[in-house]
Amino acid sequence: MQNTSEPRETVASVVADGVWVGFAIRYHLPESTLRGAFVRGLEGLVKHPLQGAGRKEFFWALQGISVQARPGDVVGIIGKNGSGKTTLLRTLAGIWQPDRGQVHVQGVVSCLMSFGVGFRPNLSGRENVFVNGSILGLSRRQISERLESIMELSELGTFIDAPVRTYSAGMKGRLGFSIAVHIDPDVLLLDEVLTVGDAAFRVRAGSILDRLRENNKTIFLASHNLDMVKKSCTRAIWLEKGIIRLEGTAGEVVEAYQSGMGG
Amino acid sequence: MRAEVKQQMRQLFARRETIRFLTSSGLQDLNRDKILGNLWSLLDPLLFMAVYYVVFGVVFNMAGSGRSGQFMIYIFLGVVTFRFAEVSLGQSVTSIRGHRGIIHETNVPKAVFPVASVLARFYDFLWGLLVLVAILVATGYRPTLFILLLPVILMAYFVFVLGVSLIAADIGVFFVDASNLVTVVMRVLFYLSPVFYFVRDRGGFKAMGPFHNQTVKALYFLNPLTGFIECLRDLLMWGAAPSRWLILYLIGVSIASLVVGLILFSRREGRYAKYI
Repeated sequence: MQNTSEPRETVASVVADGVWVGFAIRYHLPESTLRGAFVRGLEGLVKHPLQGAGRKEFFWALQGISVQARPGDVVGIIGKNGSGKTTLLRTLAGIWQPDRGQVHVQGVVSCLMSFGVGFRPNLSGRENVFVNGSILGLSRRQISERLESIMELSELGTFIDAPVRTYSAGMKGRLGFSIAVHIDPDVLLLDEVLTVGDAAFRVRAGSILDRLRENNKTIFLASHNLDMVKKSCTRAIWLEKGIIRLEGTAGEVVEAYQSGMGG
Repeated sequence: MRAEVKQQMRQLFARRETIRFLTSSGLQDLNRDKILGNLWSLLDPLLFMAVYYVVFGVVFNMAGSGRSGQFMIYIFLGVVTFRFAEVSLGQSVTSIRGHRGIIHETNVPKAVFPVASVLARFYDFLWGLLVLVAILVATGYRPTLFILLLPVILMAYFVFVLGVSLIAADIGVFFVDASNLVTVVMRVLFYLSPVFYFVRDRGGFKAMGPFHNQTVKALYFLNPLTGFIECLRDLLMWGAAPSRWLILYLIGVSIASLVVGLILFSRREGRYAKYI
């Protein structure tokens, strides 16, 4: 296991400081509507002008999380479903704004959450590489240069020119992963995506992670795959109900988690 | 305020390549599976024109006898111009929610989505105008010097539609039924704009009754869509100069709506992800 207690000179590339992220849950109103707002406004005028907009409950998905990571760190995030793993990754990526606390990330962030949800189904894989790559921040030239390598990693072969709607979930996932790692990010955030594809793909994906780490990139990896966390992560965080239960080397945290789960 | 507008403009400029990809892929994505493909950019306004022509030209005979050719062109210009605003708004109001997947996966400036929608529709609009000009030239129309104002009017119209689309996109994030409202409002505006009737005496067509009253007419022209449609008719059909006050008014409204749209995005785009 890698030694993380060794002091490093480098500055932290990712800093989260006392981050709270909450969501309003509307039990009775599945979505907010203009009509609903109008009716509530009228009700408010007539009945209880001081009471706000209807019944809302607030759910704090992250409750005062502080995390630091330096270049070269591979941080595993483990915890049960609903413990805040994805919320944490999205907050680090800047997708959610923290309600309290602060997040600082240095450099280019690339974030891979799910299986190519941003793809346009009627366009070919190749066309989607350009659209997605551009959304993720690459220039047209950079994409052209990396197209070969993206195609090779995604193992799509001639299917690259077929419409994405004909792809299987695994094919979409591989394509999405291949684009994400070619963004050449300084900080890569991965959410359970390495489980797509067969064993051979996972091996290649794992070796790419190793290469990124050696190139002093910072990687966060949220996963239920404890073996993978133990194997590829330098550190780990155990999240439970939005707070950090334990933080330490990957081995320590995974063992504590397993014994805590009774497994 | 100025800083907010600048910040959004800079963000959008930095993402111009993304906007171009989204625009062209949006156009292709829409038409890829249709047999007639991109021809629909032209067929759509032509078919709408045909419908309105049959209803208002043939059934109601609004243009009077012997004017049907010119009335067709009159309606076509109105329809093409109106459709640009209508379709842009309809798409923009759902554009943020429609890209939930991307927005929940990466932190991208949210304005690129409505901007790309409006650009794609502007492309359709320009094709429609090109067809119109081709018909005009074929039927013996010779442009006057006033045609030099055309880029100014088109630019102002684009800015106006973009601004209102950004505002609609912002509202659409927070209220799901905003798209229903846009549909209804655009229907009302359609009848409140001179697409198939006459508000001024031009080219031999006579203004309809209510517009003989100058106050009514002035109020009527507060609707920027009326102004844009009539300006384009002045330039393309009548070879006349639009009123300079009207042009200044249109430019003012356009800039104001774009500024409001950009400020809304600058202030609230960080919260969009949570609402969609």
